[in-house]
Amino acid sequence: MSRNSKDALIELEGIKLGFQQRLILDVEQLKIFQGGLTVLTGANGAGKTSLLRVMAGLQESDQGKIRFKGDTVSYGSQGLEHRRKVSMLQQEPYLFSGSVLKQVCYGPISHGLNQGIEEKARQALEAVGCLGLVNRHTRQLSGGEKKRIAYACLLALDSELLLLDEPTAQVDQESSEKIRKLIQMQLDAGKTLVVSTHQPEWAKPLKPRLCMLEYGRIVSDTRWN
Amino acid sequence: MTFLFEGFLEGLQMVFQGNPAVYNAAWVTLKVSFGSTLIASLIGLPLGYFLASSSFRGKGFFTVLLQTLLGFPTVVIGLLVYGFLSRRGPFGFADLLFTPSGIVIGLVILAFPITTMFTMTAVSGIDPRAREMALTLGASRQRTAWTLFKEVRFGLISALLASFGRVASEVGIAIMLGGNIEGYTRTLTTAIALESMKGEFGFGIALGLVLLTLIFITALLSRYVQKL
Amino acid sequence: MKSYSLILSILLYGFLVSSVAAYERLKLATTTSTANSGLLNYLNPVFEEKSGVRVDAIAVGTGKALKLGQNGDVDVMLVHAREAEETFIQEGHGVNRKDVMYNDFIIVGPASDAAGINGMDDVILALRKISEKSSLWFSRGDDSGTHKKEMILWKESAISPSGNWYRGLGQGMGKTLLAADEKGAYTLTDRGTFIALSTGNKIGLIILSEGDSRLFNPYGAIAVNPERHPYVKYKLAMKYINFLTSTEGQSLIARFRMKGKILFHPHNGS
Repeated sequence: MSRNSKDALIELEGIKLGFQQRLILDVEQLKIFQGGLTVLTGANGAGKTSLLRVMAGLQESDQGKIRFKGDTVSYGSQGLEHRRKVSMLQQEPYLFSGSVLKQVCYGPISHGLNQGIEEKARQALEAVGCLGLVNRHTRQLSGGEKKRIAYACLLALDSELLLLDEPTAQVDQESSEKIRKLIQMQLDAGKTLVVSTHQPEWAKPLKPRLCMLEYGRIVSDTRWN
Repeated sequence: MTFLFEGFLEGLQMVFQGNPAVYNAAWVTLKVSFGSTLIASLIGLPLGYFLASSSFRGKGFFTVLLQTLLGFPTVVIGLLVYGFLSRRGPFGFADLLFTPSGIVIGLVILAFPITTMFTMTAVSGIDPRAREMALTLGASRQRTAWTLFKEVRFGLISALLASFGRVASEVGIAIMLGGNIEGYTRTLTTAIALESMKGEFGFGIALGLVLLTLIFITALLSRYVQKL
Repeated sequence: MKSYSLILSILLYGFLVSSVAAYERLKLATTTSTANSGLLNYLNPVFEEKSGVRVDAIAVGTGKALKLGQNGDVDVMLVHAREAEETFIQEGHGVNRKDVMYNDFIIVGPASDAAGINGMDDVILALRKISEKSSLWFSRGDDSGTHKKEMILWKESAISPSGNWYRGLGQGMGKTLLAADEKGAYTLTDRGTFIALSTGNKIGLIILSEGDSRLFNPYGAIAVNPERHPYVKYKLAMKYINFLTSTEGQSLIARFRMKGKILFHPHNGS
């Protein structure tokens, strides 16, 4: 790990986040390098989701700095730029009222794209195996389907850094497999992923970097070979 | 009983014969009610969204202020606006007293706490994940707000309907600021007040029937929207 | 987002268009009895046709009508309270007062006529009798022209009416007559409101005393003083007043009928 900051895709420094007298996050330093998979693990409540949200620009820390490709990330209305480079998959995704197609097109449209949006959306849906659901109303989806559609939303965006919050939670063995394959595909395409999971076994075949969190601190940082 | 019954019949007759005085009053009611509901929504929707989604020091205070405005006696609203719009008041030059626009101003003050409150409640009830989904997919703050509005669009429509129903039934403000001028600022409600003073019971019934129909349609729409 | 701006643009456009297409409007304060008589619906359209100006008649009590003029909230007044009008002019609130027309007041009451005043020409004697007998009397009690007239008559009969039989209602003429009908009371009313209510058997009261010159009820038109209130439409107000006192206006007043009966007499008798 002796590369300098300029090589890190995203770097966290001195991040502290508290809530009602409790410290949820206390990360001195974390560097995520381009083109790899980092798995955050730890018990429930260890701070995995909060860490992801801070990285995604959805939660502002009380103290500390975040740098993306060397540039400091700001929040508020200026955080928009950052949010267009980093996307997060929620643990229990919320889908907007409307058709699945509209939902997957939402990201690209928000990014200001004009052309080829629908095509991107369909490709993404195909990758997650949900092309048949393209005209279904989001109200009529099962939990597993919602998760896959949400994943398709991220795929359609082509973000540099993808954050997945417990992508295999409450999902059967077969779907776990599929998700692992999808992650592998994205790694092969050069994307950077950070995935949180409280049961990291399913990710072992991907040979990820493993960061363990306990009470908001990183207590171990190893490579799983 | 015959007095009531005859009055009712007379009223029905006037409605179906298209009595011009009745329908003129209905037209004025529709104009000022639509106008004020629209403006109250343009104020209330963004304001309600803002109050629901931000946290700032004075937030509790503003919420209490809103509650107070909601319960404000309409005659006080009428009185205050009258003071402003009167030729001796600060806005006298604008010549708004005894015009439909003057009524609309008063009704907007009556209605915007309603639209704001309804919106605030609706937006507060939105799953916080919805906002984060929009943001993480790269939506700007405005686009996010618009998306969240669409998620609670039925709550917002209820806000509009509640507001419309309220202003259409208002008498005090309409009389004080409008002057009950025939064909110009005479609404269904002010016309009823006038006719009952003249002892024209049947005519008053006719006006009342039209007003009730309006309110009924509003209530029906509201119910329909809620069930969607 | 786009639909929001579209809605806003439509609204702004509509607002601009409606304000441009507006007529010139003249605000007239008058009394409820005048408005209720229907005279203005007969007269004003003729004026509106000729001048292209819309007359907005705001009907309130005399006291309120003069107050509106004092505040400059209206441009012209048509009222019937001579004394109050004089004070108004003297205090500089109004200018160019012109006599327009007159009608009369009458004393009405229940057909049973417990005070026995039916047919009495002398209104003062009639009032004295009512007071003696303590017969139920309803007063407007609202500072209106009618109320002011009533108080002048009581003063002339050297009576300060009080006691259980004398009730001030604080209501308009219509409501007062309806109440008097319900309770069998006497009251002073303008002829117009009475005609409106008694035709068609809405009330059972009858005319008991009329014709005394002291029941004379003159109407005056006053323009609000433009020096006090620069925003009033003085020229239009004068146009209207001149119309009322013109040959055309006066003959229209003479020809006006309420339920087939003569109500107003033009000042420049025709």
